[in-house]
Amino acid sequence: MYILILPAFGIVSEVLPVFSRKPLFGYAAMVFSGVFIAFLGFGVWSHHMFSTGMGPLADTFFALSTMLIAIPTGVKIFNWIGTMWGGSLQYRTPMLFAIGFIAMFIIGGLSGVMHSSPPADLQQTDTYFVVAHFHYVLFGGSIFGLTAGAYYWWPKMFGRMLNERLGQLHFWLMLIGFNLTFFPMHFVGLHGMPRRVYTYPEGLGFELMNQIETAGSFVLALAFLVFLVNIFQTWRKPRNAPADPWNGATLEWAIPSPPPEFNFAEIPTVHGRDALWEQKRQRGGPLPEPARVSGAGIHMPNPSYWPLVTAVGILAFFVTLMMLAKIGIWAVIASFALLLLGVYKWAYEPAG
Amino acid sequence: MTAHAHAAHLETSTGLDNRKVAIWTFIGSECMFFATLISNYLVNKGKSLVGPFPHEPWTSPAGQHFEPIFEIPLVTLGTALLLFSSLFVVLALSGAQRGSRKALIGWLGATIACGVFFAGMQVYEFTHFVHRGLGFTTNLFGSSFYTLTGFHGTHVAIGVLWLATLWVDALRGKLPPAKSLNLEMAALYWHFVDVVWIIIFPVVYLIQ
Repeated sequence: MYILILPAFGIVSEVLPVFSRKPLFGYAAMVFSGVFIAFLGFGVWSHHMFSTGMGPLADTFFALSTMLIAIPTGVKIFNWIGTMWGGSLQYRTPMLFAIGFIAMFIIGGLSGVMHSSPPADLQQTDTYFVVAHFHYVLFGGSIFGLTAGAYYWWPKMFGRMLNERLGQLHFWLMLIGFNLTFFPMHFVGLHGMPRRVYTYPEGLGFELMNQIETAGSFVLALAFLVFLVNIFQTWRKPRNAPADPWNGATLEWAIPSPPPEFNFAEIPTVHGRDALWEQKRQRGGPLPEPARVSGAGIHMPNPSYWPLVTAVGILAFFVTLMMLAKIGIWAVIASFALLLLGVYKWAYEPAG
Repeated sequence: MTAHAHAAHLETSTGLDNRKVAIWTFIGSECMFFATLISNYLVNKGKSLVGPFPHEPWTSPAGQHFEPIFEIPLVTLGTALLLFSSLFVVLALSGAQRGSRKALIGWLGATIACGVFFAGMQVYEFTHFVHRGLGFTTNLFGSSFYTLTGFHGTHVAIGVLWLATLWVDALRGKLPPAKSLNLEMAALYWHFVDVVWIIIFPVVYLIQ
């Protein structure tokens, strides 16, 4: 599961400093706790299976690794808060989503620590409490973080700024809709409502909470409708986003939006973290808008379809393998041949 | 994997070729993968409710008798050949680096032959075990044994395919000293597959 949250961790660590006008607090501790989470993340997976009777040894190991991973995660949370502390906060849409991420992920993290103890987990497993927990980490965590990244890098990716007013509306609808949908699940879960069962008997006291959740899910859907409208409207605007709309700290904002396919015509020399802030500080003000230079004479690797063929081959191979009994061995052999074709053509492709 | 496909490599700050860093990173992730499977085998060791068992005979409630499943001598031979193949691939790499085509083709061929023998030994072993009543879902031993050794066997098979590809390259004169890194990467992978077997062999076959 940590593979899903680490990209959001990275995004938030990029967004928060820019909109706090301060460098990331505790940079080295952030990097090492990220590495530590990535490493420990390999050794926690059986906390999804405490109720299967793995035995005391495996239960203990996975409980300890799960409790341990809370430490670097806590380091990250405190460093993000430390980044904002004393900064001149600018509540633009990416920043709102990044702050929303921290708040929601703390709630999901707290219920996560509760699950890490096998005896406690046996009480909670297969109830809506678990559903509440993993939506707070996957939705409140990953999706909030990814949305922050989408608003932040949209001008860099597509050359068009998303509408700020719609962005703010998107954030508040999403925050309210999300909490209306998923927070009551903590209560119904602890009251014993099982997950994976679509209905429940009358009179158990689940009705009100479930109705709030249903209403909340519509607010959440509305939030994403606003996002889609924003994307659609933005698509019809001219491509006029500046190179550096947020007064960014890092070098992607030094090149035009969207970047040319060769990115940097000249590889920049980096003298420290937050290299673009450093350049602006030395110049004593904003940098001039970078000119669009022609890419003539810059060596680019040949584009290739073979990596895609390989990826399709891998997918087809494992899907046909799973459906072996239904579709027969020849489909497996054919998709394996496709996989091999992709690998060999890719490996032996002459690159210009 | 041809060198002309990557002729324009940038100097890296580590001084290491980025392809070499990539294969070491890959091997790092493979360590995690096999550590999981070996731990799984150890955690479930001796917990099978029904036979056949690896080291002890077993009579089913219906009165059917099962001999201990392992046959150590054949696996020992496979292990020995796999270990020797690690030496052979070093000699092949040395040949590739010196530009000795004869040494390269000969030793690489020997490496591949050992790999083919090992993979074939495992196919025979698995077939034999199934005939003797140990299926993938028979008991905890069957599931953890076939998963661990099967994944290792898959790694051997992929290694054989990789080395055979380079062998064909060498035969066609397309593996000059300048491109010996292509073989070095395959050799690093091959050593890894060997080292993992050095752990699997005692853990699975020898420790009772």
